[in-house]
Amino acid sequence: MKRLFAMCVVLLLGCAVAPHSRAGAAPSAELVLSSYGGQLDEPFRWFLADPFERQTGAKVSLVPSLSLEVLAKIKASPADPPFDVIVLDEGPHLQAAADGLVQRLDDKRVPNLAQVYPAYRKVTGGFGVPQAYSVVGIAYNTKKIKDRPTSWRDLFRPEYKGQVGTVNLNSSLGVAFLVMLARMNGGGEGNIEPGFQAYKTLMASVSAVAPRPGALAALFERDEVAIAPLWNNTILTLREKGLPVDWVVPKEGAVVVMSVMNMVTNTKQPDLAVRFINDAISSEYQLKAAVTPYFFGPTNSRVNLPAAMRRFLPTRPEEVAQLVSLDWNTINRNRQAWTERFNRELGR
Amino acid sequence: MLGRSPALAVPALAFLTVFFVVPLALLVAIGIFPVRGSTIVFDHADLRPYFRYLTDPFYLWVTARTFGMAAAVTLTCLLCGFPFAYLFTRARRFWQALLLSLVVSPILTGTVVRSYGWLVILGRRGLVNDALLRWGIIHAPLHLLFTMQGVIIALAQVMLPFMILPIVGVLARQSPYLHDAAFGLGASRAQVVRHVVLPLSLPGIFAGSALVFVLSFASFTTPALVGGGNFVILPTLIYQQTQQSLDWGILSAISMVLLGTSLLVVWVYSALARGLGLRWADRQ
Repeated sequence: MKRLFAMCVVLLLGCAVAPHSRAGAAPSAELVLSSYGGQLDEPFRWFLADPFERQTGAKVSLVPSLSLEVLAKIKASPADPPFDVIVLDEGPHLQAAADGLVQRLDDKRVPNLAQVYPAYRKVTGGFGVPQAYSVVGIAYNTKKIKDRPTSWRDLFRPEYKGQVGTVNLNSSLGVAFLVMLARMNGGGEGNIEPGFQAYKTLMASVSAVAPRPGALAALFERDEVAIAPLWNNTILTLREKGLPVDWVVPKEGAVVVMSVMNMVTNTKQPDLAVRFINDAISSEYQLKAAVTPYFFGPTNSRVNLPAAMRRFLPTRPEEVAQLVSLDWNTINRNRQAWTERFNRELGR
Repeated sequence: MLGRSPALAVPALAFLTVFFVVPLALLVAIGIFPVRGSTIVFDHADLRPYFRYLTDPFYLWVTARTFGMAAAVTLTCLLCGFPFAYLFTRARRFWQALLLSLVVSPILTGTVVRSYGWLVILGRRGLVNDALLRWGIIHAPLHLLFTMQGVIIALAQVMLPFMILPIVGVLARQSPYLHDAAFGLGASRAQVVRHVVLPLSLPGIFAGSALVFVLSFASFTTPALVGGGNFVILPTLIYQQTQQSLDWGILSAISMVLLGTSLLVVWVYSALARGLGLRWADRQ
């Protein structure tokens, strides 16, 4: 027994003094990309990663993750990050830039950036490229909700009691919805109190709080919810599968959130990463990702979409400017406190 | 010579040390020493995370809730598992094989798959609500999914084998002559169960209860899926802290309370079981 104990101690010491250098094996050419998950990964896989693999011989791995999860994983090992290229929503993107998790790109090495609408480049803070945008509106089941919703306030209608779905604050969707509730009741990013008050009232009608946007869309499939704030593309992919759902822009405005693609600081594949990012904002790729059933908002000015798609996807900067943009810097400063409060006051 | 050499334990010991003891020690250290960036500063101990945990009513509420959930799951498993185990030991060999495969089959499916199954069964238009509505027992669908009751039901199914198997193990070792003797002395079947079967199977009940409690106290997948996005228990809270706030200190404190409670429960159970076991051994 004593000898066993001694061995254990020796092993422990061995671990403690073991050099922290990494094995010097040749880096295999693999590019790890964070992605959205589910069907929304199809354009990344089919139209971006597969052609990229054929052209470069490198392997591209897609790891579905929420933006905040990506940040947490990189922060846990910043010297040897688990991702090379990441797509982040506006809020987490600004956080990542402030924390030094992503690096500035040399514009000359990303020639397609010249084709991106200048208006969209304002949100990036000088890091990464605006890759796509999605819009938060109201999704509803057309069989159960006969009156087409026109306002965020429709979620509070008594006849929808027990049929409303929401999502927690892990995602930009959840935060955007909370801020919209605050704005409608005299508050906003800087004064979230009215948002929480409205949310508490709404909880009487809420049938489910999903852990992530994809899970909320799945609740429509299983009839657990009939009306919910949701991304245009998350729900419209289901519509293409034949589900009786529709998506509308409420009169107070839908929230547009930019996805920014970035090269991670300390990536081992900077050349491949830059090339991949350049491909991701090409007009060829963005057109394929913008059409039915994916509806990723194109940032490349040379993408021309059919007029019939405009209802689900405002495609020009003038149209996008009419949507609601949020102040993500203020949100970032408060987000942790909001999440904590959400757990405390709305958890069950 | 090698037969009794402690060298035999080296591979397992090395594995456990590298992949369990060291990470666990780091986790403890994170809660006691401040963390800057991704390094632990060992200059001075700082117990503020624990202090914050223990003085915050919210964390205490979540701890109590998690404890209550695990206790409810344990009780449910015991109430369903004991009669099943008793039936099992009374059944013929053929039926025993069938019952055993029934018990073990849930372990063979993945937790995620099983939990998704419960999402379908407990849903608004799921099996349970469908049947109850059709038989006219209820008139509006019950709210089972995304509730504590739903999570307890789903967890109880996942945990049932861990309750049944230890009880079966103890019951199977009981001499059938004890029952015959009790019957011969005029006891009814209920009295036999009450005074002979139940007391003699207490070690199995304790072992099963301890297992089920500890496993459900720390379980994450089933509560996260069946409970939904605002279901708060200690494991889901830990998950959220790792993904979002990155508040390593409080994260370590919560993990230690989770681990400490589990160890305490195991210790109490095993102490109880040992005490009882010795007394019966003396009587025989």
